[in-house]
Formats: sequence, C-alpha cells, structure tokens
Amino acid sequence: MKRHFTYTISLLLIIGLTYCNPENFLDVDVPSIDQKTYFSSDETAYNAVVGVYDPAGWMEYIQYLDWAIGDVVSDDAIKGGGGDSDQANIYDMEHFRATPETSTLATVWEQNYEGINRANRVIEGVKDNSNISLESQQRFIAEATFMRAYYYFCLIKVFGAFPIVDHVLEPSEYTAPRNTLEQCWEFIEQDLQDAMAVLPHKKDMPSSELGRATWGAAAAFLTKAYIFQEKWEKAEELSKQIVDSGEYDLQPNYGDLFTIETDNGIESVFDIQLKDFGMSQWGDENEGSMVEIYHRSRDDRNGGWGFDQPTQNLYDEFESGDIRREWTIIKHGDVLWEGTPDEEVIYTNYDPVHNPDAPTIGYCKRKGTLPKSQRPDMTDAASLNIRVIRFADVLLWQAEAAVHNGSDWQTPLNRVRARVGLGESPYKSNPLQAVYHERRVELAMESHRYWDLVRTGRGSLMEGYTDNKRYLPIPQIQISLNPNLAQNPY
Amino acid sequence: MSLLKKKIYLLALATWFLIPVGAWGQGSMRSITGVVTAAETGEALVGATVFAPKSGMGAVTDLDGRYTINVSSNDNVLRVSYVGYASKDIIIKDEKIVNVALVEEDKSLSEIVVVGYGTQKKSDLTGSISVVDMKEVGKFSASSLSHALQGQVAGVDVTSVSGSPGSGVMVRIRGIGTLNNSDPLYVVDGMMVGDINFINMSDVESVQVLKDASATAIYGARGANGVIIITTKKGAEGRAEVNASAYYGIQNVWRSNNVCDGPTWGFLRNEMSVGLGGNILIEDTRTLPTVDYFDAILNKDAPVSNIDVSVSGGTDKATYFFSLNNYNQEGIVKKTEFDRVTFRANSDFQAKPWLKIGENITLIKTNHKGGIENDEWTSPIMTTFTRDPITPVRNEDGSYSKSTFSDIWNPVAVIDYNNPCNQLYRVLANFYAEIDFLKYFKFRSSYSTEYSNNEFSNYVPVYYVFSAQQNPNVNSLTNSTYSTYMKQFANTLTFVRKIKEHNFSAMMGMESYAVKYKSLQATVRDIPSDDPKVIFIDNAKTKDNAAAARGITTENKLFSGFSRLNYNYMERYLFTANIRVDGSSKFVRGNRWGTFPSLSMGWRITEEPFMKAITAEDAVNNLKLRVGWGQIGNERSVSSYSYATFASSGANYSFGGVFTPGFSFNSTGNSELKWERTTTTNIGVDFVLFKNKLSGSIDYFNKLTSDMLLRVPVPGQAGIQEPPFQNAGKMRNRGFEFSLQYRDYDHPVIYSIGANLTAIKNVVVDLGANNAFIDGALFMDTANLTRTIRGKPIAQFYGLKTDGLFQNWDEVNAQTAQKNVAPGDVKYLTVNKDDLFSSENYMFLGSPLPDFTYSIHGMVGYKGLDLSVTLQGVHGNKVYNGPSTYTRSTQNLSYNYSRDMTKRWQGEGTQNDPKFPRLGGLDANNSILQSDRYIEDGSYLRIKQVQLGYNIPESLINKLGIMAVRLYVNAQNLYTFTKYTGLDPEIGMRGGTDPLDIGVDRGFYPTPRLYSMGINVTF
Repeated sequence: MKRHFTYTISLLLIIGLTYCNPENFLDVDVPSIDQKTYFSSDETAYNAVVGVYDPAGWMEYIQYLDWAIGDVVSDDAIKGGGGDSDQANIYDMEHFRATPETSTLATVWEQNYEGINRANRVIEGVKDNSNISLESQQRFIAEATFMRAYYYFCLIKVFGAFPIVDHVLEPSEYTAPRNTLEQCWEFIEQDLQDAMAVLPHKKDMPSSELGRATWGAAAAFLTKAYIFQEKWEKAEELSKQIVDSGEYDLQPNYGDLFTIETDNGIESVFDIQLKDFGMSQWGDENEGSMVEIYHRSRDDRNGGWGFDQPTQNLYDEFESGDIRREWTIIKHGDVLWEGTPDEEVIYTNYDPVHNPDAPTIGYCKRKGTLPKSQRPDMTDAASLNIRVIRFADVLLWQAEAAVHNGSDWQTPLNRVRARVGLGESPYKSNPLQAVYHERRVELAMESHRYWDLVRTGRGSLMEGYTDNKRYLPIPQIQISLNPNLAQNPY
Repeated sequence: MSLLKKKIYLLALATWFLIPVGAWGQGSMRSITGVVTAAETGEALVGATVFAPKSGMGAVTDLDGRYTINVSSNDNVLRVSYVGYASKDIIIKDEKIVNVALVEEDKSLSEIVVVGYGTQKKSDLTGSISVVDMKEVGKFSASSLSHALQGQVAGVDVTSVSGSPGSGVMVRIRGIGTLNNSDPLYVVDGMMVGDINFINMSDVESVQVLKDASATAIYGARGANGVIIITTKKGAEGRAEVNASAYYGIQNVWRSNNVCDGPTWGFLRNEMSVGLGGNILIEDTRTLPTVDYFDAILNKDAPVSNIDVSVSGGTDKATYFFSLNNYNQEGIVKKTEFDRVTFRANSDFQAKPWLKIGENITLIKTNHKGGIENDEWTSPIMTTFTRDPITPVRNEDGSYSKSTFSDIWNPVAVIDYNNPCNQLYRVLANFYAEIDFLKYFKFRSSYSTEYSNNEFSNYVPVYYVFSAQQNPNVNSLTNSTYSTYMKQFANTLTFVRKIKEHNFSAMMGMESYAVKYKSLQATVRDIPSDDPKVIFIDNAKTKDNAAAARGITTENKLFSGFSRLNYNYMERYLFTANIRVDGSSKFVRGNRWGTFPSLSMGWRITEEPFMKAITAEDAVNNLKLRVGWGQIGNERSVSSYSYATFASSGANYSFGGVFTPGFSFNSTGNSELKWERTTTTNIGVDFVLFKNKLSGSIDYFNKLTSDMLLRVPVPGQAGIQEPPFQNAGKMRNRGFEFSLQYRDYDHPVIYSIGANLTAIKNVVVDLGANNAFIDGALFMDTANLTRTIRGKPIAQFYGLKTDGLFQNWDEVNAQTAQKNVAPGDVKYLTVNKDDLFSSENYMFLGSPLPDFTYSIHGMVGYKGLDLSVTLQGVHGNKVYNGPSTYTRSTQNLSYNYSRDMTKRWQGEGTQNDPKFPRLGGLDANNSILQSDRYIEDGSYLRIKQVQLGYNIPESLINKLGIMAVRLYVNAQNLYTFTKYTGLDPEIGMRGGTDPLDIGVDRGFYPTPRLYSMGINVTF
C-alpha cells in the first residue's frame, strides 16, 4: 500500500513537470514602453519630439562645440582655465594640433548623430500614424526635420562632409561612407525648406512654446547655409524676408542681450533652452547650463573656472567709444552690477593666493556672466539660454550678401551700429571689411568667429592655421568602427 | 556512532556524580589499564598513545592494543590518540580499567562533501572542490562569512569593497572571468541567494567551494564563476546541546593619512610660492597650528560585539536547531555602523520510514549606516587629505568652517549633515520532503522562498558651510524601498547502487527559479522641523509634488533540467558526468536554452595493488589524480531585458522656461543575444603523505570565457547612445593553485601549519570586431586610468611613464617633448619626441590584479592552550594612489601635502623619485593623472589574525554542568607589511561591480585593526 502511494506521488510529479510549459514560464513582460507601441497618441509623440531637442542642451555639446572651437580656436580667445593641461583637448585644438584622438571631437560626432537618430525615430514613428492627428503629424515631423538639419549643421561646420542618415539604421547600414560636401549641403537645405513650409511663426506662438522650432529659425539656418556656401543672392533674399517679416528686432539695450530676462526675447531667432530645475548637480538630469561657471573668473573671490578668455587682439578690434567692448570683455578690477546688492569686483590677474593655478589669466568674458543672485548653487544649473542665432546676425548676413551682390549693405549694417550709438562704419570705403569688422565686434565671444574666418578665407589670421585645418579630424574611434570613413587632411 | 556518543555521555555523567568523592584526593599514584580499539572494526590499535596531561605520564599500546599507565590521583583526564583517529579525552575517576574505542578521523578521505543536489565522499571527488576549515574561519570576528573567507581557500580571492561596517566584499573564484558580473553563485542549504552577508557565522556547519567546470556544471548557467555552497547546522540525535558565545572588541585605524602638520605645510607652501614666482606667503610658519582632520572624522576605539545562542538536539525521529545572533559594529569613521539580528530555526522529521520532511527558516534584520565613500571629490576621507591643516574644524561661533585657502569641503560637516540609513528585513525559508523507495531510489522535492525589503532613508537638513558646501533654503528627505521576492522549486531523483566492485549513482532533476525586484523611491523637500521624530514624507510641505519619484519592477526566470552520473570501480577509477540545460527569461525564444556538459575522471593511485608496499609504510597515504573538462554559462552577464528596444524617460528640455518631459530610445535591443559560456579544463593532484601528516593539492586550470557579452561600440552614425550587448568577447584565465597542510598531533605539543597560493594570468582574447580597446576607471571626470585591450590582462593602468626627475638644465635641454620644464620636474619616457601628449607616449603601466595571492596559517597547542596565526598577502599588483594626486601637487597652494613631500627635489642629485619633484613646478608637467607618478606597488602581507585561546579543563567545569568553555583573545589585521603609502593597500573593485575599476584609491575606507576577547560555552 505504502509503496503504491509512493509510486503514485512520484509518477504524478513527473507527469506534472512534463506538462508544464517552460517556454511560457520564461516569457516575462518588459516593464517599459516598447518602440513598436510607443507612438500611440499626440501626447507621447510630443514627448519624443522633446527628446529630439534634448541633446542640443547637453553639457559637452554646448561647451565644446560652441566656445571651444568658435572662440578659443579663433583669434578672439584663449583657452584659459587651470593651466595648459586643464581641458588639454581644447588646448590642442587651439594650437591646431588636434588629432583623431582628441576626445572632445568624438563627443561632437557622437552626440550630433544621437540627435539625428532621435529625429529619425520621430519622423518614422509619427508619419502616417493614425493614432496621431494630422496637424500634429505635420508639426512634429517639421520640428524633427529642423532639428535634424540643426545637428547636421553642427557636423558640417566642424567636420565637413558626413554620412547622410535619413532613417533609423539597421546594423548592416552602420558603415556607410561620407557623402560629398554638395550632397550634404543639399540635404540640409532640403530639410530646412521642408521645415519652413510647415513651422509656425514665432509671433503666433504662445509664450509657453517659446524655444520650439519656428519658421524664422528654419529660415535663418537656411540663410546661414547659403552664406556658408556663398550663395549670396539666395542669402540676401531670404535674410531680407526674415527682416521684413517684422517678427524680430534688436534688443534696444545691447547690455541686456545676455541676461536671463531676454531669453527668447525680441532678438532671439533660435535659442538653446537652458533652465535649472534643481534636479542634480551633474549629468543630463538637469536642464541648466555650465557655460557660465566655465568662463567666470577663476579667482576664488569670483568662483568660476576662467576658461574662454578674450585676447588683446579682440580688445583692440573695438572702436573707441564702442560700448560693446565693455559688455564683452572684463578687465582686472572691473566692478560689475555697481550699486546693486550683486556688486562684485572681478579679478582677472594671476594671484598666487586667490588664483594660484591659472598663470595665464588676462581678460574675462562678460557676455553671459550672471550676477551672484542669479548664479546657481550647482555647477551645471545656470538658467541662461544660448543665443544660437539672434537678429543682429541675420542683419549682418543681409549686409554681407548685399556687399557681394552689389546692393544696399549699409541699411542693415547701420541698424546694428545705431543700437550702440555708433554712426557709419569707419571702414565704409571697404564694404567687406566693414561687414567683417562689424560681425567680429557685434558677435564677439558668441562662438561665431572661427567659422567666419574660415568661410571667408581669412583663416591665416589665426597663428598656426593652414588651409588643411579648415575641418577638424574625424575621430579615430569612428574610423576604426567604420573603415569606410575617409579622414580629413588635417 | 550514536551509541558510542551515548556511552561517552553516560561515562561523563557517571564521572560527574563521582567527582565529589575523590576529586581532591591525595596525589598518590595508581595504575590504569585497558585496551584501545578502532570503533568501526573493533580491531586493537597498536602504538596508540595514552597520556595524562596533568601529571605528564604517558603510555603506548602493545600488539594487543593494551596499555598500562601510572597516573596520579590529580589526573582526571586521559587523552588517547592514534594517527588517523580522532583523539579522545576520557574523564577518569578511580576506575582501574578504561577501554577506549577511537573513531577514524581521516577527514581527508571519508569526509562527506556537498556537491550540489547531493553529497559525495571526498575520496570519490573528481572535480576541483575546496572544503573550508570552519574551525579556523570560525575564529574570525567578522561581520560576514565572506570577509572571513579571505585567504582561506586557494583560488578564491576575497577583497574588501570598503572597510566600513556592513560593506560587501568582492569574491572572485579563479580570476575575473568576464567583463560582466563575475560574482560566484551562493547556495545556502540548497537555496540560491545573491549574497551571504546575512549568515550568522556560528550557524555555519560547512563551506565548500566548487571551482572547476566539472564541479559547477550541475549549476549550469549559474556556475561559470564558481559556486560557494554553505550548509548550516542542524540538530543531532541525542542530548540537547546549548551553545552560547560572545565577544567584544575595539577597532582603530592602523595608519594615519600622513599629511603635513601646520608648520611643515606652511614651510613647503612658502617654497612652492617662491618656486612659482610669488612671495613668501606666511612669514612665521613655526607658530602655525595643526588641525588633524583625519583625527576629527575618526570614531576611536569603535566597538564591535557579538552574542550568539543556539540550542539543538533531537531523537531518532526528529531533530531541531534554533539560534539567535546579535552582531553590532561601529565603524572607525564617525556615523558608520552596522548591526544585525539573525534568528534561525530548522527541524527534520522522519515522518514515515520512507518519508522525511523538514524546514529551515531564517529571519534577518540589519541596520546599516554609511556615508559617501571612495569618491575623489568630496568624500570625507578624501578631504581629510586635501584640506589645509591650519583652518580649524569649526569657527569660533561653533559653525563649520570654510577653508581659508580652498573650496575643499569640510569633512566633519559632510558627516554631520548626511544621514543615510539602510534597514533590511529578510526572510529565507526552505521546505523539503524526501521519499525513499524501491531500495535504491530517493526522491527529493524542495521549495524555497526569499523575501527581502531594504528601506533606505536620507535626511539632509538646511545647512550652510560655504557657497560650495550647502543645502540652501529647504531640507530634503529621500525614502526608498527595494524588495526582492524569490521562488525556487527543485525536484531530484537519486539512484545509488553497488554491484560488486562497481559503484553507481545517478541523479536527475528539474528546477524553476523566479525572482522579482521592486523598487520605489521618493524625495520630498521642506519638512517644517528638524526633529527626528517628525522626519516623514507625510510632513513635507511638498508631499503632493515630490521632487523625485521612481519605481520599477523587473523579473528574471530560469527553468532547468539536470543530471549527474557517478561511477567508480573499487573506488580506484572514478568517473563523473554532468549535464544541465537552462532556459532564461533574459533571452528570447530560440536563443534562451543553453546546454552545459562536463566530464571528469579521477584515479586513486594509492588504491592500486602495486602501491601497497608504499602505502603500507605510511609514506603515501593517498594519491589521486583528477582531470576534468566542462562548459558552463553565466546568467548574470546581461540585464533582464537587453533584447528589447524601449523608450526611456529623462530626455527632457524646457520650452518657455517650463520643464518639459521628453522620451528617447537610447539603446537598441539585441534579440540575438545568447548565453555567455565558460570552458574550463582542470588537472589536479590530491595527496596525503607521511602518516597522514602532510596533505595538500595542486591544481592547474585553463578557463576560457567565450561569447562574452559586452557592449561593442557601433559607429557613431547609428546614433545609438548605448550600444547593444553582443556575444563578442573572449577572456582567458590560466593559473595554478597550491595548498598544503602539515600537522602533528602525536605529541603533547600539537601543531599544524598550512599554506595556500594562487597564481592567475588573465588575458583578454577578443573584444569584438573593430573594438580596439575599452577604457575604464574614470578619475576626476578627466582621465581614464585603465585600458583593456586584446592580448593583455583586463583593466591595466595606462598613461605616461615617468623616468625620474630632471636633475639639471642639460637634461632639460636634451629633450623636446616637455615644454616649460626646469630641473626638479618629472621626466617622462617618450617615443614621440615632439609632443609629450601624443598617443604614442601612452603605455601600459601595470595591472591592478596580483601576480599571486597567498596565505599561511599556523596553530600550536599545548594542553588547553592554543595559539593560531593567519597571514594573508597579495603580490605584484599596482594601486593608483588617488589622494596623492592632490597631496603631491607641486603647484597647488591651497591643499595640504603628503608628509613625504619633505623629500622633494631640492637640487641636483637630491631626489630622483618622480613622486617627489621640486615644489613650484607646473602641474602641466608634474601632475598628469594618467601617469605612473601616482601608481604604487600594492603588494602586502597582513597578519590577518592572531588568536590565543584557552579551553578550561573539563574537570573544573563539568561540576557546573558545563561541557566546554573556551576563552580567547584575538587580534585582526595586527600589522600590514606594504610599500603602499596610502591608508590601506587592499583596494577592491569600485562598488564591487566594475571590473575595469580595480585598485583605484579614492580615499578608500581602510580595513580596521581589531582587538577582541570572547568566550564560548557549551552546556
């Protein structure tokens, strides 16, 4: 009896085990939203569109791409910081000895393509998706297309031609070679034209949407693309269209331009949005900016890190009486925000007690320096946008194109000068020089100088520059991973 | 056996009743006679020693096993010993005839070893399995068993992840097998658990370490990194036994952080300033005060205590075991502490002649407080190195000070204002039933479950030290819970049969395993009061709008079938085969099943007839050759859902100044993922020589991990932030293990000495196509200190190589690579002579993994006294001295300096060690983080344990109804021999999880020195 019982139990167990299906047991639910089901509503699609803008505000992105090349590599600024080895990558680029190993360049390459991939995901996920309203489909695709062009513009500025990626890639497609420079510009132009056709005008947008792509932003980037390619007629025509739209104007007071109050203001055509929401000291979690602490004086009474220091060469470029100089450059002992509770003396000289590890300090950058009461407690948390394109830039493109086209260049140029109380340009007799001078002083320390020099064939103004240095080296890691990528002749 | 025990017990009892009659009698002599026999066979033992410890009289048995000894009336114990048998103490009164039966000891041969889903005689083993000597390990005053295992087993490397109380250890069996999780599998009483920190050390009956594939293959996909099997104590038939033990100790740092006092700092700083072209900064440095920040964060004479009580016993139908343990430890740094209460109960019932059932239940509660550690920026230990030594800890008004010279955080304030606290509640339970049937079969079904809940809380009040160290405006409270729910169901069928000289055993089984992790976290701000009584989320003004909230549930499942076959002929030729098939929820259908086979063979040479002559002379008692091969998987090599592509939140931006949440697809899933696989070959020899006195084993292994899962970078144009996992890498670990033990218990002075040594060579064989290298150990957000490259060991230090110091201008001018240098600056070896920072000049600077690890333990005993010593060491590894990147700066006027900077270069020929260049040289030359200027020899030899114990003679305590009393004093980490100049050379893997970040000292929490005393009592 006992034995039979034992057999029965054992047999039941064995049968039970045979019949339970291990495959079903092992199928578990993924606790996240799968790519296939993600684009289920206007709301979720919009969240993915927000994700397309996100990389533009990343710390490495805004830090290296903008001032490190635009200002420091040019004759406007030196690297600064705590000696040559502090951010040695930037020091190498500054002295035209960047290599394919320069890690900041790897970041530029990778992060722009991350933005491009996000844009492609949105375009693929939204297009003809019946869960999403037609109106939203159009705008989201236009925004993603604009941002894709924005990221490609960043790439073409730094590296020249790139492999065009217009959809989410399969692993077999990862190793495409670079397209030609012409194809790349054509692609960027097409994206911007497509975006312009759909995007709303800034004047029609509620203030809660400020910062999203607009018709004006797309038009301005397209103008910039024409300027880079020396398509002067198209550039003049389009910039005139932007000016005539009346959507933008110069900020009356030049000194107000780089304050939190004028973020997305009348002069902003496209701002990178940087706002502190008090989330984390490091990493991407916060949406604030590190740019301010990077360039604030390294003297411990001012508490910054002292990078991106203006040169004497830039200082000397300003006409006497041009108030833009004092809004751009801080000298040792200057008192800022005088008479307010934020009053502060800025120390920019080497000082072994207060500033022991920065022997090179000279001038400091003023644009974007925040008063104490607006400085964040955390290093990456300054709430100040970056003006990627502002109206003065558009006016000066119009002037530059007009010089080449032989049309009226003085009206837009003088509009810029009039704001700071200056009359006609002292270089009036040489219109091109007048435009170049005006661009340098008006837009000084706003990360434009390097590309203004190289696109106009004036690279030799930078010590150590030769024509093969126009584009920076493609990162070695990328060439190792994709042997089809051709290197630049740096 | 049990009958014998009963007899002894009765004898002891009888003796006890008789004691009052003659215990204090005259010291007159009398003689006792008797026969010594082997308990199992009844054969007379020839040459057994009979010894009366009190009077020192002794005798030896004759050919009939007979002895006669003269004892004094003070003698109340006879110690009878014979080679290969357990010595026995017999309590005597005034009997004239004492016959003694000795039980064969011969542990090395007849010992039963737990091998996974079963047991085996040690002599029949063919795999590489080490049995931990719990007698030695049990002596450690350690918070966990894993700490105590350090140095105990050849092939098992245990390194502290931190010296703070309650922190874990990194356990690596036969090297780092993968770039992924290389933790071994822990099996406690058949339950698979993630760690063994919860175990009360006194509950442990035995620990075995399964090292090679033939031993671990029965655990299939979970065994690639070795298996540690722990069996806890159970009750035994017979008299109830009560054990009580307690110890108390104090802990301190064994070394200071060795930075300058005020006057020395001021003097060096002046010299640096002048060297930099500045002025003398402080005129009279001799009167400068000294503030010892390191001293200020220490918790001196930090107490540790342990109390432990257990009761066990049983009848022939049922046995039971209960234990209760309370462990308390304060850390050597303020506000670090750990305490644990463990309750365990188990019982077994022979319900029917054919049915046995039982359960094993453990309840644990731990409480853990620890601060920021091993962080190169603001951790309190790090800033005690860097903060200047003249700013007092507090200002005159009692508030915490800002350093006059720098933005270095105030370490005492960091500790004061952070209140992280972890409370863990954990239940583990196991129920089983065993059915014997058809004479040769046994069916066992076992169900285990674990539920644990970890509650974390940190309250940060509003405080202000200075602008960079403050929590302005509002306080914050973070609460989180992390819970685990595990179910494991295993069924095995075992068959054992002996036919003449052929011994068969076979086992087959299935197992299902499911574990679910749930996490929940919330942070709120603005609690109206600092009173600890009201620090709850409900009281926060922002409770309806939490600053951060997180939560997720993840799940892993495994389903397995397995089988083992053992066969031996005359216990001479041994053969074992294992196979296990595992399916995992971490892979998709079609890729989820892996088959893991192993084969091994053993040859007991001493069982051969031709060895008879040698074995008879007791020169060689046992000699066994083992050969094994097997393949095993690694289940923890990949996260739960690596096959899927999904949206992640956090891709946020702002529009119109308003926070706008965003989503992105950062990673791409790879549905083709499959098991990572490790193939091991093992050759080993076990031997017992010279009348069982010398025993040991030697093993050689070759372990190749293939299909190693790693994130192979993909071209940037794919736009994928986190590249997907691929089965792409290969890694090899080859090595030798030696262990040796000599013991001589034949004389009144007994002693033993043992040693083990492990040498492992790690090589990365493949990292995937186009993947040239992987950098790791990011330091100060700027420099990757290690590089992993094909053909070299994992995570070697990488950077510029120093070549002494420039001694004069001729040397400076003779080179072109380094700019703006002067005599006294660091000189680097260069390949590219134009540019110091050219990638050609970066080279490999040594490995953080040791060439070999070793330990030596010795024991000597005389009568009731015993002294044991354990030494433990590692050799040939490098350590990156993170604090010295600050304290040996030649340019920084705001930090403190390492005291040895007094040896700085002061002129030609005064110093050539690149650690100590001239003061005032630019950091651009002297302080390159990626260089061997900061890399030091991390070899050490530690006196890990010294214990002096005394077992009070039974004659004194038996009257009190006590069986045994042991008193002891103990010292741990008594002294460490090392050239490393930091706080402690034992620097583990960062966080215990990152194999590319080993041996980087970021202000590591040092292992304390401990003095303790304790008592064990058995009733």
